[in-house]
Amino acid sequence: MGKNAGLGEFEQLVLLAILQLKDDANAPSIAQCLEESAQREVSRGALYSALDRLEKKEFLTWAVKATAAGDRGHPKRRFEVTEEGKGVLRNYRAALLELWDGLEEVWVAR
Amino acid sequence: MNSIPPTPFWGRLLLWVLPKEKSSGLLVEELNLEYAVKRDQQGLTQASQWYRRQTVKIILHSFRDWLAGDRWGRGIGPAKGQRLANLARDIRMAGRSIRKSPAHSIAVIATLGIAIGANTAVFNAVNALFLRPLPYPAPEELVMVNRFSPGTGNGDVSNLSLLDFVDLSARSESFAQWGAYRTSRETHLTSRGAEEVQGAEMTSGAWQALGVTPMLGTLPDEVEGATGTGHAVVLSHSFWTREFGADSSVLGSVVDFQDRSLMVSGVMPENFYFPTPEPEFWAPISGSYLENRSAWFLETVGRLAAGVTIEAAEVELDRIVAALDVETGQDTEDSELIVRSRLDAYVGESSTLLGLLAGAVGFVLAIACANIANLSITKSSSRMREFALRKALGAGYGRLFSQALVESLVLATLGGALALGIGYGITEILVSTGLSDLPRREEITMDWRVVLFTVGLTVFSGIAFGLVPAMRNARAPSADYLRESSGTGSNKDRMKLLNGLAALQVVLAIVLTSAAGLLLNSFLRLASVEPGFVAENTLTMRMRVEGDSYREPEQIDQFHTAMYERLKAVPGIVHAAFTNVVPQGPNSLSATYYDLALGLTQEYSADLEVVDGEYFTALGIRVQTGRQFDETDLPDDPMKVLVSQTLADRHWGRGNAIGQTLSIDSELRLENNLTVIGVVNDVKKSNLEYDPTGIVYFDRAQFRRRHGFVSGRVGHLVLKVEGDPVALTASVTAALREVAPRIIIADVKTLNERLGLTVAEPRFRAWIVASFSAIALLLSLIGIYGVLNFSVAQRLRELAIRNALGATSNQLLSNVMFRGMAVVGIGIFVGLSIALFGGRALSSVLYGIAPNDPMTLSAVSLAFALAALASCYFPARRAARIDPQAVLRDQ
Repeated sequence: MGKNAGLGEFEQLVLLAILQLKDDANAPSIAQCLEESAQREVSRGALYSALDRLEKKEFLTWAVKATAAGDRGHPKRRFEVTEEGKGVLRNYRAALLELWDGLEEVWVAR
Repeated sequence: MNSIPPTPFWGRLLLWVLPKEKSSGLLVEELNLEYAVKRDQQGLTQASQWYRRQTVKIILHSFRDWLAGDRWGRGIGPAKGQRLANLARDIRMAGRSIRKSPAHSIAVIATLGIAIGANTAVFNAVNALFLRPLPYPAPEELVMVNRFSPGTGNGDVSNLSLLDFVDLSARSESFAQWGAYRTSRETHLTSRGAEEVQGAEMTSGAWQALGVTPMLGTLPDEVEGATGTGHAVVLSHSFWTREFGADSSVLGSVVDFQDRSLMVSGVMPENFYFPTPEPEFWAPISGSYLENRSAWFLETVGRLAAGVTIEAAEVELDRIVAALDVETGQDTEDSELIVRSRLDAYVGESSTLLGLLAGAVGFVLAIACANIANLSITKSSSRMREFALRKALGAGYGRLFSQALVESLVLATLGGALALGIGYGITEILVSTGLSDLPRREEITMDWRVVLFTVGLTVFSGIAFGLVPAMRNARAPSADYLRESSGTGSNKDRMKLLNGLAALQVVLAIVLTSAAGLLLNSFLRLASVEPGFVAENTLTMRMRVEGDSYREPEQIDQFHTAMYERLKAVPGIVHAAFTNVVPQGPNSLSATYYDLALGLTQEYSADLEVVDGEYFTALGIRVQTGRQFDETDLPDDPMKVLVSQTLADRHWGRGNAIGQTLSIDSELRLENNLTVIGVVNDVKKSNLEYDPTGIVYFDRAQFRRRHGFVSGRVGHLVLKVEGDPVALTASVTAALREVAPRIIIADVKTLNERLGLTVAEPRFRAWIVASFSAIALLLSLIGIYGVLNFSVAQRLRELAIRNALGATSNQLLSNVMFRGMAVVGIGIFVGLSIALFGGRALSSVLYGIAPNDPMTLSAVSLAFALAALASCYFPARRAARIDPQAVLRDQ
């Protein structure tokens, strides 16, 4: 896959969550972050297949990393958004902002 | 440890169920990592629940995506919803076609019901034993440590001493938790009198390893240290209900046992058991075991520390043992410590039997599928027109194929539903007859795993018997077929296929019947083994006396004398005797001994038996040379022994044993200069299969002088009686109570019952495999009949022409018979070849017969050939009675 692949809504959320979490972006914390913002449980199946797809699209990379003793040294996979991923996010944001432009009556709460 | 944690059962299920593009990525690995973290933070139970929930969700989602034609959310595949619509239509069409030919449908459903039902029943047992979690969190992680000493018999596996355990657990870093336990019996003093209860003694580490929490109260405190010695007892739910009326204020109450009083610290939930279902209390381990390093009777249970493998743990233990040997001067060079999965070890012995059963029912199912495939092929030949027409109207290969397959699956589903009922019935029969001494038997009930298995097997069978017919149907010749009035073009192919499937059935039936023949033969040989004692009119029971009146050897002697006197006064009792090891009983005591003439270099192994009263007379064991123990053998005399014939012959040759000396080394410590005063005939002590290694008999009064613990307080009574032994039970019990009011009597059985129990499993094995092979035989004969009948129907024209050209009835008959028997012959030949080589798999359960026993195998083949002749005869007779004019006129 790779170039020019599209980005689903959920995939965008996942990428954004990774960026928000910075160094802490491992799967459980991504799930938690999404759950907090979406106010519902995130199915691990959906999450992992999204992560899988994003990796194949080259929008993210990961590395296995040993963690602090608090987790009894279980390794964790830390995710990172690639430059390509950031680029596609920027494009989406620009497109969204353009489309939202002038629609204040919709997005400003009454 | 920076390793990816192992995949638990649910993860493996995911890997298996999900398509590769979905499961091969991050999914399972990430789930495992998150599971590991959750396990540390929230405990095993919660983490496992979480994993299970996620697995089910993921599978359901994937299935939904697939049905909607949405390939993992990326819109590849048929249009959304199309797949579902096609499926619904196929199911409707299948229903119509099933109703249209009820005879065929019923035959298929019934055959499948029986075959899958048999599989369901066997899986039910496998499920309860191997798959259903034990009542502890993550039971598959539990391990046990044993001492493995090759060549010592009895599975070559023994246990640890408390001293060993304390030293090992203090030094080992391989275990996250580790504890020791032993099962024990205690005399419980109640207002009703003394009762024997089974329980277990455990260290606190064993509780930690199990990872369970009590329903009430707490578990023995960790403060009690490594040995767990203390005074707190944990009660089972049943004991608590029975003795305390399920009173929740039981904590702190005292339970009086004969030797000690313990305080109730907790009550376990109803479904908890450990290590087997019997124990009703769990007490701290007695510190007195710390005295003897070679008292190897403690079992252990533990969990390995994170990242430690079984192999690594064994290596570490070996290192510690080597260091301990140097420090303690103990020599354990010929034994090593092994670490095993507890689940495997616990149910491992039953795996042979269940493997056998699984094989047998698998064969039955395979034959059933081949049979149904044949039925479907013959049936679908009559529907060729229908398929050809649909193809001409534009149905593609895929649609035709899937419709035919769905029809098989619908039939299979109906069969599967029937199978659940039949499986339940067979389970009830299995449990109430042959599987009665399986561990965890009471847990054999249908649960979701069994249903899932049946569903899976149903789908599998539907595909297995539907695939080939579906492929044939989908390939239906279109235009050509419609033009001709009857299809003969593909006849040859079809007959080849039908004959092939019929031959396959014969092969499978021959293999299964050979196995049944071997098992039956083996059982008959076993049942006719001469045990070396006379079992008729003999009553046996376990007895136990405890308390202050039975502490000193003299008190025991008096008790025994009084007991024999009183028993002799019971009408009907001819001889009374005492032994520590009842024939065909549960336990035995074996030891290493030396022939002193050869020095202490050459070791031998023998069973030890401590007897008293008229033991040899009561059991009809003959004294070949020398004499029995008698009143001239005083307790403080130099020790005298009787030996069995095998042992005597091995060392001194026939007739030279009297006056020779032996030396025994065991947990009883070294005992020198045992003088042989008599030789008795060999006795099959613990079961009928193994040849006796030799038995050394001691006189109880002499023995207990030196070794306090087999002192005649606990053992078995053997009573030779006149008339029915069972009828005497009450008067014997009453007589014993007169002598010792608090005596405990248990496990009352006639010796014949004990013998029956030892051959029960071989008998069951033979019976069950024979029943399944009978089903297999019947199915395969029906299969041959069906194929031949069909072939005669197809060949009517040809046969009629032959007849018209001068072939006699007999010639037609033999022509058809020959074709049928050719298929049978090939099947028998291949089946026999497989049986000849595959029979070795049975050798561990066969007694006195080779797995390739020519007599059995040829008898099986001959019987099968005769039965097959009969099933070929009827179609052949139909051919012979052909009326050529009528046939040719019709065509």
